[in-house]
Amino acid sequence: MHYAEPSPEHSSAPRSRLRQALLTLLLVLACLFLFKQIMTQVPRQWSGNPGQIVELDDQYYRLNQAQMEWLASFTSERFNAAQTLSEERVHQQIDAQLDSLFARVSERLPLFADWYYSLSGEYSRMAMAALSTGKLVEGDFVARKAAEVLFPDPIWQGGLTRLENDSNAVLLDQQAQTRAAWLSEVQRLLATQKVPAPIAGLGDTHVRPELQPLDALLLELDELDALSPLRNRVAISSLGAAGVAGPALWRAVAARNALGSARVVAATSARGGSRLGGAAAGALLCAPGGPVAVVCAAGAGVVTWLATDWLLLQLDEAWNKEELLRHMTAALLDLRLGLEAELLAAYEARIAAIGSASQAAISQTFSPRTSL
Amino acid sequence: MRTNQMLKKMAGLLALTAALWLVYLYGRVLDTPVLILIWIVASLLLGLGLWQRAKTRRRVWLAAYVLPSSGVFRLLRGGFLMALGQGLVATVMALYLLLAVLRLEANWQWLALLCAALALPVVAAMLARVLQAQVVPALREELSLRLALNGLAGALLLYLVWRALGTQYPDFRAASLEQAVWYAVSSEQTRSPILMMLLEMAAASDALQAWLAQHLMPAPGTSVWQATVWCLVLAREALFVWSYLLLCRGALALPLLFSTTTPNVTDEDPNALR
Repeated sequence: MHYAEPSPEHSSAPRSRLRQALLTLLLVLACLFLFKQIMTQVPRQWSGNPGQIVELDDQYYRLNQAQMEWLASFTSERFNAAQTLSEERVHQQIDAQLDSLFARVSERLPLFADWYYSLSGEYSRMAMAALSTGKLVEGDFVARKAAEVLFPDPIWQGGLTRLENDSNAVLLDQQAQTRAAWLSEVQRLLATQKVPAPIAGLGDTHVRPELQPLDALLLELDELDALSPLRNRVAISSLGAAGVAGPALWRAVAARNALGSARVVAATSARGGSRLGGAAAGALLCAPGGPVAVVCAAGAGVVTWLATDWLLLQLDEAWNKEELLRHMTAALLDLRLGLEAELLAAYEARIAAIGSASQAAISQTFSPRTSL
Repeated sequence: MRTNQMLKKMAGLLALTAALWLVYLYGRVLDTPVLILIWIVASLLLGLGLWQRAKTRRRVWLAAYVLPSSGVFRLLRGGFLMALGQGLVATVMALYLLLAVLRLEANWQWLALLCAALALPVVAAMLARVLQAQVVPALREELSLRLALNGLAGALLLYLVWRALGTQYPDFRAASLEQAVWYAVSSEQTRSPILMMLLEMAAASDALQAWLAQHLMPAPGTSVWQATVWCLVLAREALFVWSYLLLCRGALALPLLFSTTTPNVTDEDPNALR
């Protein structure tokens, strides 16, 4: 019997087939796995340095995060500085307008002094004092007269209205200038970042830089022009009304010099005594007149009373008018300073409100939540 | 035995395609040094494929025209200069291939590349069997591989162009060239600034091509512009397909570098080529 050795080829064939089948299986499995991954996976997108498209005045600029931060800081600083400039300009405007207004009021001080030292002024004061004692009229008659003579509506209210309008115009002009300067500066500085406008109606699934319309910020800042102009009106109506300014002035005059007031009271008392003395002397002149003596005495008494009053008023005017005018001028200056302070406070509050609203709008526009 | 080799080659090409797909998947979030490393590896593989191809051609040419005893034979058989030339070409082609891979947008493109890679060893093996009785053994495998590469390149190119015809492109008819270029460029975001610049250039080139196509030949016709743009499309697709298949060829040649039994044509036996 012949024994045949099994050849290596015969023995390795099943093993080779097995390896082949295993390799095929692995290959098929790998293919299926890759196929599934290809069908399900999407390329990873890099978002480490996201750009942003800024739309400003129909122009488009591409900025990276650092540039956006610079733009936010630049905008904030620019509008902050504009707030100081607005305050300075409004201050100058109010100062100039009040100078003009109070100069016109000052021109009217002699008119008031003339009335004050006139017979009609004297007797109307006496009559109003008597009526006031009987509670038939209320308030200080001289103060009302001061308002009427020194602060007539065409001068006082007209001047204050002009002041308000001009100050508002200055403020609006300053804000408009600030916005225009900012826009021009930003456009100049970002000129190198300019990119074409997006193609209208062309949407796709690509990740693109987010669009940041800064025109909306400009629009929002425009709308701040109308912010709380009522505050100024309140300030002007509270201090600037003629019915308030006149009494305030007269109270200031009265409070300014107690000695002056005492002297006025003394002069008035002296005039009362002189009147009685003068009338008595006039009546004595008619004593020899018989039956008409009573009428004569009455007439002579009135004439002498009036003459005495006139004479005493002339003396009073000669002694006290300058002092009264000096006190009124000083009180007018106080009134001006008070009004200026109130107006400035009102305008500064308005400018501060505009400033904080501007900063809020800028901060919101450039905040990472909305912009990046 | 041959089937095993073919399966191993298929597995190798599958791994190569998977690696390329991973580059496509993560390329935009990779840092520059990693990308440069990938570029170098791709250039080496492509260069290997190109160098092997050039070397075979040179050997055939030398065997046909030059006596083996001649000094010219030794001088021209291919060395550093040939490697340098092919390396430079490979560097450019690898860069183009990687950029094209990163800009692929559809899954079907990857499936087509995968199918082509898997088909390459199969078709080459089938052709080798067909050419068994006609071609000298020393060049049979090389020739069958080259024929398979050419055939698959043609088929892949036709398929890509055919699918490109049916693809929806952005409508640039109402846009200026500047807008179209910006539209394409603005979508590119990568970690590596160098890659971003290259991708932006590639995107700008695509946008220019699409804009020209839509503005200069809005209706189908036989204008020179139309022919030019289509030639451009074909050339770009052809370059991409050819780069990819050369990379596959380089990957297939990789084991030969470490093999000691590789058939080689020596100075002593140049007629083996005939």
